[in-house]
Amino acid sequence: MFDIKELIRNDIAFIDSHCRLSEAAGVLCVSDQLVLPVVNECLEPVGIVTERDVLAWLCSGKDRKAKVSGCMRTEFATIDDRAGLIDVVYIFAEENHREIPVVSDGVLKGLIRRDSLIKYMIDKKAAAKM
Amino acid sequence: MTESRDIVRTDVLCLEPQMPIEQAIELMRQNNTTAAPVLNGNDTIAGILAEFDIIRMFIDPENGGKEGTTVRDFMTEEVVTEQIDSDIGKVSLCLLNNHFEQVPIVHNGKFVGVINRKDLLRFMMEPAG
Repeated sequence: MFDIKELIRNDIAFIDSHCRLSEAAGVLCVSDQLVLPVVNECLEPVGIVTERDVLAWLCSGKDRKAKVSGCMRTEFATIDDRAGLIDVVYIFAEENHREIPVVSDGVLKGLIRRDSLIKYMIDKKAAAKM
Repeated sequence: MTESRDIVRTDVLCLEPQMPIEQAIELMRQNNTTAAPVLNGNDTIAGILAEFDIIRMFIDPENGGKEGTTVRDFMTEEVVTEQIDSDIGKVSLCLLNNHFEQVPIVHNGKFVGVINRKDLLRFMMEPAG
């Protein structure tokens, strides 16, 4: 029986949209996260910032003191914490997502990493053979 | 001018085309990498195996559940590379424009290492001087 909680990583870093881009870059540099959720005061994700977004910003010579709201992505995938396994696999398979925020009634609960999903699928396959 | 050689990561996991896909996935997990170059015996690049290729394997009706599948069956064969003396600005654009997570670095046609987004981000956030 699939339990999405097995895949969710809860101890994650996130920032609010008033933070500066340089702060977001600093967090991404020291953490192993690939995606940094940006939340509002109700802990609802309003955007994400990825390494790619920050690199693109820096490479274009824009101000690194700019607020993260200026460069975050506001269109992004989320996974509901009641989603089934097939739904999760298809979300990751349809686009090249590396980490996706998980929400419960709109509130950020954590992230699911692509490699965690792969591990789960491989372990499930191995268990089915036993 | 900073070149690829200044930040290239050389201690990276490399796969072989004939390696069973399960073994490759386990190695990628152990090494915490999202993609790994696939090398021929002479250190030339045969392809790249990325997590995205593996995820697609799970929903591939033809090859997904087959026994005996190898890295070659799922790797991407068309690989964009950068040279060991490429300027870091050029490498950045290569990563950004192609939506790559990492780019293999070559010297005289042979694989040297990779530069990934996080390495580049750390380099760019370092205080100048």
